[in-house]
Amino acid sequence: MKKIWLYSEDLDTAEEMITAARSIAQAGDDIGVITTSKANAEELAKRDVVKVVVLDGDGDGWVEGYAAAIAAALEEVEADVVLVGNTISGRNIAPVIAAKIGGGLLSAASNIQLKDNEVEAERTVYCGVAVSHEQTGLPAVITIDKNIFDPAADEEAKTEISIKQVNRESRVACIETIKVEHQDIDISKSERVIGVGRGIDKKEDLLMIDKLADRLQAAIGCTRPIAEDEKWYSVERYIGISGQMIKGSLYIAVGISGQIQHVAGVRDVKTIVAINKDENAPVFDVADYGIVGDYNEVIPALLTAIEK
Amino acid sequence: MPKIIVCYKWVQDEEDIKVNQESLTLDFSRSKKKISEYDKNALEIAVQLVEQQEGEVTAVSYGAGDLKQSLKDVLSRGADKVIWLDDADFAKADAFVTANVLAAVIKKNGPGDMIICADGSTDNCSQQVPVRIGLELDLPVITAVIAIEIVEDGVIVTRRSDHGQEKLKVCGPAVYGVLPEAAKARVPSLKQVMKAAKKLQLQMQLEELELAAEKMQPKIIQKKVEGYVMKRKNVIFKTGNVQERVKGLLDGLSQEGIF
Repeated sequence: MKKIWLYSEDLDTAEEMITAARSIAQAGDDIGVITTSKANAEELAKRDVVKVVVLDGDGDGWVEGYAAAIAAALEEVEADVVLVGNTISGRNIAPVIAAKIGGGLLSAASNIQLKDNEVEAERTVYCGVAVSHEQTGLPAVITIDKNIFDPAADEEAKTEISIKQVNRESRVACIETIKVEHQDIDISKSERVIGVGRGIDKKEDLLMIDKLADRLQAAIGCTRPIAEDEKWYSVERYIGISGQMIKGSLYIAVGISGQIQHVAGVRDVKTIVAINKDENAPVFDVADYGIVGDYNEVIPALLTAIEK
Repeated sequence: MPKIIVCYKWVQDEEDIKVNQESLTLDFSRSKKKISEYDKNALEIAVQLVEQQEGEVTAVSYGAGDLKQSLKDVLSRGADKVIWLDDADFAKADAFVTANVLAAVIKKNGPGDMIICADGSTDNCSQQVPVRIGLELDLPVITAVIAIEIVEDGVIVTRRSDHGQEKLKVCGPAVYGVLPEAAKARVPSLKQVMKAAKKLQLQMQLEELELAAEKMQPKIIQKKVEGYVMKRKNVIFKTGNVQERVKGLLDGLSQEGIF
């Protein structure tokens, strides 16, 4: 009988991790939940798990400041496996847990198999070029990307909640929290996306991309240099292994050469279209359909043809 | 006058790795090694801080037998000196072992005021080395950093959070995991490259670190690595006038049920 625990301060992520835990658990295994939010604990206790532990701290912001307290609580319950959402805070907290319980950490793992004394999983390496099959003994910590597992629904359970007072890392103070709510659209949830790359000569040309996006009811994303160097779009819009991973039905890459980091972010899209004037651009290797040509001619022709 | 340590990794350039479509094995024969892309951004932010305030940037790396080839590039990019340690068994090192070695090297040479790392590397990308270094050195760790400002009584850090941004104030030495957007890496000038030749390169040996055997025992075993192959239709319209090519595309998309 194993003890599978999960941590997230975020409700959706915690609910997804419950489903993830159930996917690797066997009959008789216990699933427990740790959270730093009292409000979320009430909700999570409605799921059929053995226990919900709330670590109640002394302030808001910089939740990673509670990493040591979270790790200590998981050591105390003698967790065999700890699941953590692969979020910004999760990526910081998970290694602290791994170090405390003396385990390995499989980060951004998929196809997780829990065996008697070890865990096996797959991880993307070399920015998406390859998949590494890895193994670690128990106890182990695993981080899992968002939106892979469905959130566990309300089961009207009445799980016991225990509250523990904890302190935050004292050498760091949170002086300001800037919430960015819906400042920009979440392209990872869009069905259709048009991607803009370095092949676009000037900012004014984005007007025709806007028109095409409008006709196709598509969102606009971009490559990393377009967001970070050109600053034509916010960094939340860049697609790739270190940015947004999209998985809708259609992706149209315009003026994108097809660097591996970018391509890894669109690999789960159903149909990929590439428009590029360089017929040797690597993007055509990963496209279902492609047009070799100057976007200044192709996009207007495409708009005219769609109108018809 | 901050003393800053920057950790970097010497990795295969992922753009040049070829995947054998049948066996899924990786072919590194045409791939050159490089400083992991995000480490260049980490080094840049450190160099910029020192350019503003004076001080010193020490680059630290743990790697395989060919690590020596990285020294000139890292010094050209603005590090004042480099401390390096190559190990024939490096390929077996996971993030746990790597962080233990880097932390021990840093401990021997003094942690300085800040240790800056990229949040992850472009090859293994386990995204845990900076946090594990902090734990080994008993220093606070701040990840997802996008800006660092040194003030009179500490450091003000701006970092991404899951809901926006946070500004944190740090007192005393700390480890910073930075995002690529924190600083755009420079292309070294000829002058910087020439200057690099005169800078200090300090090689260390594993034995000097006196690490317990347990700290050199990886937690993660890599069983196999397989190339990722995307099966796509690859219907490319390259001939005919633009209207014909566009028609070809739209016919294809209507077959997919998109139009």
